[in-house]
Amino acid sequence: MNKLVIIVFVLMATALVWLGLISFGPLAKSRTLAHLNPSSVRPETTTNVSTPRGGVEYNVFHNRDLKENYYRIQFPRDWTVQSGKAAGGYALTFPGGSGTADLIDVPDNSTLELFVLSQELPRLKKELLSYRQMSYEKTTLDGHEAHRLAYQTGTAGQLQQTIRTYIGGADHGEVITLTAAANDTTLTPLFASVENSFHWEAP
Amino acid sequence: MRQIAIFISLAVLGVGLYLKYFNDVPDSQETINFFVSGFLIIVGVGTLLMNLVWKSTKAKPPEQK
Repeated sequence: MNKLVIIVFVLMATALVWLGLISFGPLAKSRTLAHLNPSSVRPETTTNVSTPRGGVEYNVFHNRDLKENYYRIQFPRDWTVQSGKAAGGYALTFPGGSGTADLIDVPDNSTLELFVLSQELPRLKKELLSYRQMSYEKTTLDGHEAHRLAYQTGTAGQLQQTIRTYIGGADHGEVITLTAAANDTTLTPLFASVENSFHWEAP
Repeated sequence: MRQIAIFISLAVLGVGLYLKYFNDVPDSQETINFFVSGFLIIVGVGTLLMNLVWKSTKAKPPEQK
């Protein structure tokens, strides 16, 4: 048999083994972690926003994890901000609650509204304990279509209220989820200011 | 025969490139898309190269005088 053909075949087999390892094997994690950009969790600037309860210091984050999905968002300075589970996401903890900000992939053959109504709402109802929808509204944020969903979970005494906002984008969408005790209204203006600070950035 | 093999290799490579760069899949299916597209690209390039470097070992017919 031709020597060159054997060499090409061996190289091809080696490449296939490497592909299997990087897809499903021990190297798979390194492929997904490569998307995380450390600068995404370092605030670049600080801004002061006045709210009905006085001025609040905000840290401004520029997320540059996924190309075509760069965005800017700001969180109050006393909130703890860490990388989310997936690239392009944040995990938030703050006095009285917690939250996340994540990129979501809306399939090309769907719209954000259809995605929220046909996939997200049924999923939340199925997965969350004592789910009770409080409100749902279609709105606009940063010039993009947005859907704001408010719901309560948990039992009496430990009732939690969550505001979940889906924002459309050119490639991915963004979903901001902020949860606090249902009777805590002090965080509502902060939640609104976080949502309103969202802005898609050019790569 | 070789032309057919090269055509099939190019077709496999083309499908692989399409899946990798032009097919939008949900996040949950990204790993399988990465594997399938990578598999098709590697097999496409590999078989194409094998076709191009293959030398026939068939004995040449004796020249007629």
